[in-house]
Amino acid sequence: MLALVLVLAAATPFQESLAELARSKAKDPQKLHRLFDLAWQYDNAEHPELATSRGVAGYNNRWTDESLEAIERRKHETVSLGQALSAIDRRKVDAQDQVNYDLFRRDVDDDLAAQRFPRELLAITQLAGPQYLSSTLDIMPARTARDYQDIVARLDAVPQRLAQVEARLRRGVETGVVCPRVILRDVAAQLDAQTPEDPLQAPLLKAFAKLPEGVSEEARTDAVRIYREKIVPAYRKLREYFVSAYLPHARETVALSSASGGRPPPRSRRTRSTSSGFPR
Amino acid sequence: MEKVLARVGFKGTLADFATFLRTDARFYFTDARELVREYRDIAKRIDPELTRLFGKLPRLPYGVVEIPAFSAPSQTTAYYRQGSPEAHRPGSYFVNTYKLDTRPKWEMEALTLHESVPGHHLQIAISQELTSVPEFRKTSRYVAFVEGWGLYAESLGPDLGMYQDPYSQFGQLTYEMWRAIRLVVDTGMHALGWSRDQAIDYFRQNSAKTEHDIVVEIDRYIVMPGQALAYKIGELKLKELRALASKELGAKFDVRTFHDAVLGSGALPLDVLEENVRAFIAQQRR
Repeated sequence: MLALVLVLAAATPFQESLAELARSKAKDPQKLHRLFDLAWQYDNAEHPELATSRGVAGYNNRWTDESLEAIERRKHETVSLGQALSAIDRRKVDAQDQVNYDLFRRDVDDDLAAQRFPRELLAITQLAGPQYLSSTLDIMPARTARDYQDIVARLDAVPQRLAQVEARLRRGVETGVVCPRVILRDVAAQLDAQTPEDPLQAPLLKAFAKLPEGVSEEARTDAVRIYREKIVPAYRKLREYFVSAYLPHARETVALSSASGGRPPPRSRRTRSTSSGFPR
Repeated sequence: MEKVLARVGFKGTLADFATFLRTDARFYFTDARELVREYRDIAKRIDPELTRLFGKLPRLPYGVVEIPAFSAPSQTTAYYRQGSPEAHRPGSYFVNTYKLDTRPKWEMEALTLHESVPGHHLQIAISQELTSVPEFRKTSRYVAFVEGWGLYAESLGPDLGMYQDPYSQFGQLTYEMWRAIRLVVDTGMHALGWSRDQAIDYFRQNSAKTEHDIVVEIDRYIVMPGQALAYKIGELKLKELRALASKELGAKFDVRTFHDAVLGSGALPLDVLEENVRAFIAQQRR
């Protein structure tokens, strides 16, 4: 227990960077832009799928760590980010930067407000969840041998990601934060559709149907092996848990207020910006 | 809506007309490739007309693609996926080809204006290409701004050569009505204890949208509480600000510079947008 407390109390690398910024002798406008840079790098590093979507290079070989521990850590780091911003004097930056300051403040405050509700426990719906991992692979660069190494690395980490989804769903069942059953009716079929018999028909392996020049056949062999040995069993396991253990606990009500003890949860900026697209 | 009924000489009630629009074979493709081709045709007809309404256009192109088969049954009629100038990736306008008898031709123009240009692609690509703001602002996605802009873009159709056909004109009105319906059913289900069936019934009674579409929509509002409210709320604000600028500036009002001013700072919370537009009006007056 003591060890756990010590771990929680220790600053994370991001919190160290924020503390360093607070100690620096730089003027407020410089500090503000340094803070924007730190937060931007942190956002991309913590949410590699977002980085891929934005086209920021360097994060394409991994997924967001969606373990309950990492989600908890990020919540603490967001608090620190808000404190770091407060330590910068808004009156000492020009009018344009005051707008930047205020918008950044609003985003952080939205994220903080969203922490009141454990939205991460609603880890799967008909429109979002592990059946949509291929949508990130679809937008990854797939031109060079290096790009294919990144794709293979992400494929290799799919089982870990699915295990994290299951852990979140389990916590949701334990704490009574679950999705309405009616919207989950297509999910088992959506999960099944990720693992067809022919690996090259799988949504996750689309990039391997036809390899660009300069990418060796070995990349495809690796992908197919990972698919058969790791990805297919991992999706089956998640599906089994979902159908036999989660669905029976799904709720009959549809109102969000019934999933949150009557308090409507605020939508976080994060939730908005990671949704699959812009529906009509 | 009733004017359109008169224009096409339809004898019957609005509800009868809705049934006609949902069921008559003339409004539906039977080949998915033809549907996609028509979406592309509409998009390409809009593209050159944009210079009438915008000073600044994005450099990033966009394409029209089909929604992957595994998710199409649960997905809405269409959505936009942003591209990336840095990664040399175009924007993508995804269209649903599942159940062709639920994808009426009369909605295709309004839908395309919303998802591609001058809707999401135009707004989001311009925002990504901004050079004078910190990175986090290039990817801001305040929903009331982004979706309000999408719905506002639908209303620009007549200036872009759209809605010549009365059924497409009715499609636009149906789409606007649909976003108003969202204000009722989203709050109904999440705050006022409405059941899913009540929401579906209300939707069906007040719009010509097809049955499959209605159910997919309602299920989406269930998992994205409040999101559906952003469209109408954002559009009302944009129309209000345009009317204000037009009234204040009179003959000096230029729609191109107004649109450039609205889009030129990326997505914003609506109150900040209003401050920007008021500053724009003051500056134009000088």
